[in-house]
Amino acid sequence: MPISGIMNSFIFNFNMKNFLIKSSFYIVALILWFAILGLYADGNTDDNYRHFTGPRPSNIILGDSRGSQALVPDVLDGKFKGREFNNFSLNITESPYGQVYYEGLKKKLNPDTKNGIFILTVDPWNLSVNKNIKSDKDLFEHKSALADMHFYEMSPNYEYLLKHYSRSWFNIFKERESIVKSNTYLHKNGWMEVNVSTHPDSLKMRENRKVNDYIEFEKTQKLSQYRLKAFQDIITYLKNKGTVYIVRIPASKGIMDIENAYLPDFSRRMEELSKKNDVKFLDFSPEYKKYIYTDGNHMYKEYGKVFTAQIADSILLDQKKLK
Amino acid sequence: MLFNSIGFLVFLPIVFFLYWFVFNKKYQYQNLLLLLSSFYFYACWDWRFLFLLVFSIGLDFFSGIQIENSKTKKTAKFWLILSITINLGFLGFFKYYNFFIESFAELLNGVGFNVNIWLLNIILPIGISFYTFHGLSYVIDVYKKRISAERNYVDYAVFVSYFPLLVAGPIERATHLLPQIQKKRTFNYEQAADGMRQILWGFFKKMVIADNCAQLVSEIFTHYQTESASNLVIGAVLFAFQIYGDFSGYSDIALGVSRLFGIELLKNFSFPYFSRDIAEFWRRWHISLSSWFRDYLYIPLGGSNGGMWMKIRNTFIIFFVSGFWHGANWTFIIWGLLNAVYFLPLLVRNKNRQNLEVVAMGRLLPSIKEFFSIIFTFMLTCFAWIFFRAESVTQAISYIKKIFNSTLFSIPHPLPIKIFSLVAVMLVIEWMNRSRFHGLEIERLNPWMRRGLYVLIIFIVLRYANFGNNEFIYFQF
Repeated sequence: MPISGIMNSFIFNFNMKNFLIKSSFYIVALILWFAILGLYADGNTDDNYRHFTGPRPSNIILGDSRGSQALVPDVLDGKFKGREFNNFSLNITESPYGQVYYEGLKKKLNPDTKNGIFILTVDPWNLSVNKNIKSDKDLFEHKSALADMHFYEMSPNYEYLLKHYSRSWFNIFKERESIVKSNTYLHKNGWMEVNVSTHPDSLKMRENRKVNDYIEFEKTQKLSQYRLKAFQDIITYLKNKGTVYIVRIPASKGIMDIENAYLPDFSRRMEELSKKNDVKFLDFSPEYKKYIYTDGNHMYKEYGKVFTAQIADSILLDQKKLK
Repeated sequence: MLFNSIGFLVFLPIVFFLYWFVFNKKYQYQNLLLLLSSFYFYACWDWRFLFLLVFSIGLDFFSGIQIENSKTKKTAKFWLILSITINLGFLGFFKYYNFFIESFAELLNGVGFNVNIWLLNIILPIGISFYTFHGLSYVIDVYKKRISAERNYVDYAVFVSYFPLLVAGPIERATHLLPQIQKKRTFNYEQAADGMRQILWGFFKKMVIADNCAQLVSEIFTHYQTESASNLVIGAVLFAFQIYGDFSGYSDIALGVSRLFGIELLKNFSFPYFSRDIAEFWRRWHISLSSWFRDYLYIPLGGSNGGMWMKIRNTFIIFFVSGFWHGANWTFIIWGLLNAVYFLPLLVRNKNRQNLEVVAMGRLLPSIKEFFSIIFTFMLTCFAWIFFRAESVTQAISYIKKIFNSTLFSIPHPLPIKIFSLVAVMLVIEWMNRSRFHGLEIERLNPWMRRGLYVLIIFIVLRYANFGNNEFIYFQF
């Protein structure tokens, strides 16, 4: 039955019918606009969109932006034949360890996961909080997509776009990856590929800026029992579904100096935590000189691949020992 | 729930459908639906404050009846004062407690006494300034016998909490809104269609103008110390358009939504940036608040009947209170007083009511004199807006000082051509409709031109709007 027929059956008021028919025309056009543009959403859309598109993984990497750039799932897939990894690390404001990230993880992970491999990347910052925040509910991650998304495997994910894409949707179409790949491109497997100049002058300039940022940032931070508790809960949850590895990702000397001054015993704490939970801790922080960083904090992608391969080798070695 | 949120886009059609198709047998049923919807709308922010709203409604409803039932003037006055005290007490506590305590401590520190102050972590209940003023005007009107006390709680509660106006006005009067609530509403196509046009125009002003200006304004005000003087001027001008787009956009959406339910709300804005002097500006900006202060403060204080000094004193009081109403910060108070200073020459020369009609009526363009008067008035308001926008008086003064240096005549960088083009589109459309009820009242155009304009505006919204669920500035007041 056409729309006008349905309307005739219960709307007797001509004025109302006229109003609804004319309004529907515009509403349908608007819905089509959004529906069509949403189809073009991809790794260029924004830094998080693809974390909320499927499929749900059984092997996962957690952490913040260091983890999202330094751990390349393709490398792990190559090393662990038959497994597919997903990097579910977002950034320091949205995915520090906490209740929000834990709940997000439960929705992201394949519920049937058994014998999975889970790499939990840590640094002092994703287990810290701002000193001035009075309540855990005021933490920024409560405003992130992890806090209010229901669907994690829709593609295109209209829920995400409606709730968290704040620009005009026309930009999704205009900046789609088939035109040009963004400098911050999020792969389907969750790896954030960052393409910036690696000229030594550029690297130095970005590192200096980042170090200055972290000097200020460090003053506002303190190690958080709330985050440690959530981290513990995540380990316990994942241990029931496979093997957990805790990995400390290094940064440049400037940043490592700040970290070591802020929490000199951070690696020891992680070691103790891993022993307590009977999981392996891989501390790469002493080897920070081996890698190049785009801004002092994030590993350059080619070195990320090398770094990921080293993690994979360590895990394979560990698994061999276990057998 | 924000008007520019997905939640509201689902909420509105559901309430509309229930209102006209399910609860349409009696207007009482429709009122009940409006009340429940309004409470739900409010609870979406923070359900705990719903109790405060319900209490405030109950207090004024009960006080109104007691005032009317009072056998003596003294008893009636008692109930009036009780209601006003409690209403202002809540407003004062939630909005001004920390401000008074801090200011008092600073004063004592200034004279050599060191005091430890006890600040509270108070969350401001959204819309409290607006619904408190609804209630106050109602009890005062009952006391003054301008209206009878309302005996139906639901009708009264709808008057105060009607969702389109609940959180940021317009500040309604019982004499205007209650009679509409207490009669059968029938669906009127022209009213609803024009309501939709007004909603569209409101979204354009909020999402395209205000939200785009907001990003640059925020950038400039945050880094004002390193910006060039010409950029600081751009920041002040864009803030003028931001706050206009934000607040008048909100009002347009509120009025348009209400018209879908057959209820007309008070006009809140009437193209204020086309004003030729500051008095005209204040007749066209936030009209429902200005007229509230006029009727419930300025006139009771004696208005303009007691000679020039009385007039000047009362004008300063009005602007002082208006500034304070906006928030517990000296920046708002100075903004208010600055506007009073602007008013002074007009008052002294008795020229504050010289521009009562629409500018350039019957002509396409203004005269040269009108044009420069408009520009001058706009510059005055931009200057005052700097205080309104700044975090502190110190910042505002520092911002203004930095405007007056050699870089004032440099080319702003970046030159916000896109934003100014969008503002120009808004100004042209509003200029063409400056004698109308709202900026997109275009039913006089032929249907194809009208539809073409709708498509163009919708396209601009879709192409240039910010979809970040940005809050409206006036929600904080």
